[in-house]
Amino acid sequence: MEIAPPPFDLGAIAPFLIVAVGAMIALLADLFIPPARRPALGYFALGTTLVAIGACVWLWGGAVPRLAFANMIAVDRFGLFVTIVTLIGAALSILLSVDFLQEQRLGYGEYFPLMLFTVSGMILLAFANDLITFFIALEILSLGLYILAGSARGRAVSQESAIKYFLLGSFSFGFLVYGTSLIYGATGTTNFTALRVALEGSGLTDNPLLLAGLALVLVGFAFKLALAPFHMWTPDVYSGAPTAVTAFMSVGTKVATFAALLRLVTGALPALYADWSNALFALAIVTMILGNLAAITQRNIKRMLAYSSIGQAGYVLVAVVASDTTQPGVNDAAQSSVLFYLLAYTFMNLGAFAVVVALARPDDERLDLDRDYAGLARRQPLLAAAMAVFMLSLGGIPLTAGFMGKLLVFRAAIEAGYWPLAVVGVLTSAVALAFYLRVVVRMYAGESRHAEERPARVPVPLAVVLAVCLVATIQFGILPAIPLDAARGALTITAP
Amino acid sequence: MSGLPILSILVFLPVVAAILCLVLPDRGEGAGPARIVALVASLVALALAILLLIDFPPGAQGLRYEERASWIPAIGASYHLGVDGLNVLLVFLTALLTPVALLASWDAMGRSPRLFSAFLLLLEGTVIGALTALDLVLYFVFWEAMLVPMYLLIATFGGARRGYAALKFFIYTSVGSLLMLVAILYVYFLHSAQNVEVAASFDLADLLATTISPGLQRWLFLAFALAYAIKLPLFPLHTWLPDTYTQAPVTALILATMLVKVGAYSFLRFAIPLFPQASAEILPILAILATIGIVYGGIVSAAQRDMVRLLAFSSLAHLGFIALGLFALDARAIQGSILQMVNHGLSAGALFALVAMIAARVGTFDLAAVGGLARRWPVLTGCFLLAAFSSLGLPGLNGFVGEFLILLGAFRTHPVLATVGTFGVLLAAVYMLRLFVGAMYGPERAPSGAGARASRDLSPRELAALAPLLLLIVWIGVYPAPFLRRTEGAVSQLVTNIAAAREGTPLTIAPPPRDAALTPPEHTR
Amino acid sequence: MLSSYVPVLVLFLLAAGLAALILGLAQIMGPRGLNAGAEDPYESGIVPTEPARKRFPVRFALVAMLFLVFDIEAVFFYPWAVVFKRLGVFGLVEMFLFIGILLVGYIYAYKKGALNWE
Repeated sequence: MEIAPPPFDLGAIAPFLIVAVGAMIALLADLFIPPARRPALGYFALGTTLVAIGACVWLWGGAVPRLAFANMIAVDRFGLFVTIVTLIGAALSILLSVDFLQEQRLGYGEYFPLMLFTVSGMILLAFANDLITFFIALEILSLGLYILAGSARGRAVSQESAIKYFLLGSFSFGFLVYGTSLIYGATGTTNFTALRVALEGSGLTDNPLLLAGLALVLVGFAFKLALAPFHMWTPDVYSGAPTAVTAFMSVGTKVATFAALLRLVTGALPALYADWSNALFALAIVTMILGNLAAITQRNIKRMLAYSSIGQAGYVLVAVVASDTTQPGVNDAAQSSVLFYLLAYTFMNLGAFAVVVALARPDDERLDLDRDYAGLARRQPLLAAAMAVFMLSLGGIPLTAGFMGKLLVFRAAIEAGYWPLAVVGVLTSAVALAFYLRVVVRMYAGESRHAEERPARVPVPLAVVLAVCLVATIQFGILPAIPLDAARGALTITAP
Repeated sequence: MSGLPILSILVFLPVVAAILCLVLPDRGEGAGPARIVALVASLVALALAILLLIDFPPGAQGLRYEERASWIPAIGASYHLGVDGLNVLLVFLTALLTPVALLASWDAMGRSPRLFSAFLLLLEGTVIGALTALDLVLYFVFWEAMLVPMYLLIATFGGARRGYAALKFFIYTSVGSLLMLVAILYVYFLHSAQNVEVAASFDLADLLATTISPGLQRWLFLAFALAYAIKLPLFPLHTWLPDTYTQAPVTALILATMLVKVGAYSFLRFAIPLFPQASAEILPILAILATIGIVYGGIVSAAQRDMVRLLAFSSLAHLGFIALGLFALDARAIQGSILQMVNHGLSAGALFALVAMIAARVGTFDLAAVGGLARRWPVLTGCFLLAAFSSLGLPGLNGFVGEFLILLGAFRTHPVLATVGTFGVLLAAVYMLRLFVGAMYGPERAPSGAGARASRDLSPRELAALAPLLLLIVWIGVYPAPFLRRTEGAVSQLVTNIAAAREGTPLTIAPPPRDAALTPPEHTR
Repeated sequence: MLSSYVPVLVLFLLAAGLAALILGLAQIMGPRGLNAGAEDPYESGIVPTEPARKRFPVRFALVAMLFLVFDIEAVFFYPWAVVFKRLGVFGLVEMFLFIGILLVGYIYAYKKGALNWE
């Protein structure tokens, strides 16, 4: 028997390879350079992500879409778009970390190599066209994040965060694996393309085994995406992890995992639309309500942003629910709004975390809304203005990217006939304004508690992050046509 | 004037100037170049707005100075601005009130004049944007965006409870707006479902051609009306207004009164034409609320000690009049309403400015703590008298013309409500005279510690701020025809269209010829 | 088709029944009341000689993990060796890549001193 090795299409996974090899080089380089030169590793990691973005752009123009590695990988513009968003998020997070690690005396350790490994997992996730690939990608990304979350070794909260994340993450993997095995049992395949073919016109769609498998996989996704009621780990993990890590994981993980969810449900399981859309419909409503209501009571900015990210995931989910492949127009609108929202979310959320990072002091992370954010506009007007823009954007106020994202999402929901989702969405957005605007009120109306101290110097890399996020947040709010057209051009989710 | 994108300039000149203000430095308390930049920019905008008003042909129907550009082609949203008789006066008023507000707050910009003037300019730009936008996405963007500078003004420069007031203001006014967004999207999809052959569009002119069943109209109209009723505000939804007005910097209120007028205008531009059947059903109910607002605002206003609070509730009563005129769906009443929006902008603007000037001299807004100021500051007293008389609707001044037209029109459709509303005019006399007499006559009283400035009458700067308002108060009172005739064409067209739609004949939105011959006015006053 | 799962159900019921039986018997026949022995950690009936919460060097864990990694590498070698001829050059290159990646980990562990016992 001749074993035919699958074609070795390394070009197809160039972004993944670049990041993975970069991670290994960084890991080795870390051993041989003196500690004082460690920040250089950050810039090396940054360069790696930029080269990977270049590779994505090269692939975007090339012959896409195509399947590679025995159909385990689908290289299409959808995956490339998500990869670019993830890489942008990663690049900004790396810039965010360079000075943060030094200032907080966290030590560089394996920080940047781990971050790159995690990014490689996210990239693989965006291209995964098989439940197995998907699972491996999710493991790569999660293992790195578990360690990163605990990277502030001296702090109990950081360790708690890592342990919680690890336990809950493993728990959710259990669901995913079990669900995968049930789906395999019902259909005989784990490949997305093969799944779609197997389910088309077959009598399998009522198969209890398949539906149970779908339900378990969705629960696994819900854990990973922190959708209520599977979100309980998020506030502790987000607030315990070092802020730069929180920024990275709140953005990158969500983007890549949402992409994988969308690829699974619309690329592999369109025949089960009625089932998964109902399940996600319920999850979306609960998530939007719970995430936004719970955020109101938070006084710690990181916890607030954690709940806010839960609510934001609810809005993305609204558009996922509306992705009905039987109506191409509706589906295009829904999927492009998912992509646009994820892009907008990356910039506005990272921007908000960048401000949190900028305020942190070595002895005190400055997380209390009443104590540390009050009167910020007087002490650091530029930082306060930037934070105000990010809060308004997260709250969905016009002329910001967040508004355009919400507009597109609700538009897709109404077009698909899910007007209850749109109504719940706008009402929870109004509720959400309460806590987003409270930050702005504190900054502009509050009395400063740190008035006597000199305002913190904002390091150059951090200033770059803030500027990029600010420009993008406003630009996508006023002239969304460019990213939106790119998102619409990326809707080739089902490879031939 | 033809080639100049005058409306875009009116929207973006203040915004650009605001950004410029933000970068300019503050020099110590209440100084620095920012406010001069702001004043120059707002005066340029005012000059353009005056040109626009003069150039706008009286009696003209249809839209003028339209600007259309592609914006978000993927969803069919476009950049579309235009003016007609419904909004041309309001655009002018906004442009007028901005330099007035800047002049009135010249020394009262707190710690940071650059922020204060930037926020005021942003407010001007977004309000003009909301007034002129003819694409519903663009409109919604401006509609929500104008909350932000107001919110920041309150949060940064407001009174002791500014945080609470700012939050209440923002959340209250955006809850309704968001439901309006859902309704906008719904209409948009109805339109694209009915017109599959053309590209989806958010343009008002396209959406007006949508056929909507009466049952559905009711829901959609309610979603729109909720947003506007909160903004106006109509009686049970008014509770944000007193808190906002008392906590906001008083001089900013001169311009902030435009916010609520955008709500009134939006009824005419969007809610009523889009849903004519539903508005015929529901507007009479809203008219009752408006009348309650007139009486309630008047009574509560008469009981206030705080001068700003008194003016806030008097605004509620005046806005009730404006709403009553709109909801009567009568050509005269609507014309009166539009004129009354201008009148309220002038008189309330002048009164807020004057109260701020008094407070700057005596250091309090407490009506019980001041008295007999007429002897000290005769010029101020004269100005105050004129503004107060305008507000209470004295014949010969502008307030009378507007209220008279509104009541005249409303008597035809809602005789009972109009009768009740007339009592509101009486109440206006009560609270205005109480304010005026209480502050200006009686034993001379002022809180101790009113410093050297206390002895001075109005400065030239303060006079410059008040003069245009007082001039227009008299002008409109004596000779309102130039203003009324500019609203005539659009209002009669609106009323005809609605009447046609109500009788079931399909609404024809034939765009009028670009250079429509001036229709001779049917009735000149 | 669900009928093919009947054996699973039977197994499940048997397991549950056995558990219930043992717990029930212990409840009925076991001695009552607490004595010193009952509070001790259970060590197969042998009296414990020292507290169970003892700290032991983290190096054990390190060695265990390193062992696991290289043990798995060895596990991969066997099937690879069996089909080595049929895989040809591709198989050789693949295995070298695999070893190379592990080598990175080995160098890392070595430089970090994970193999230093002292």
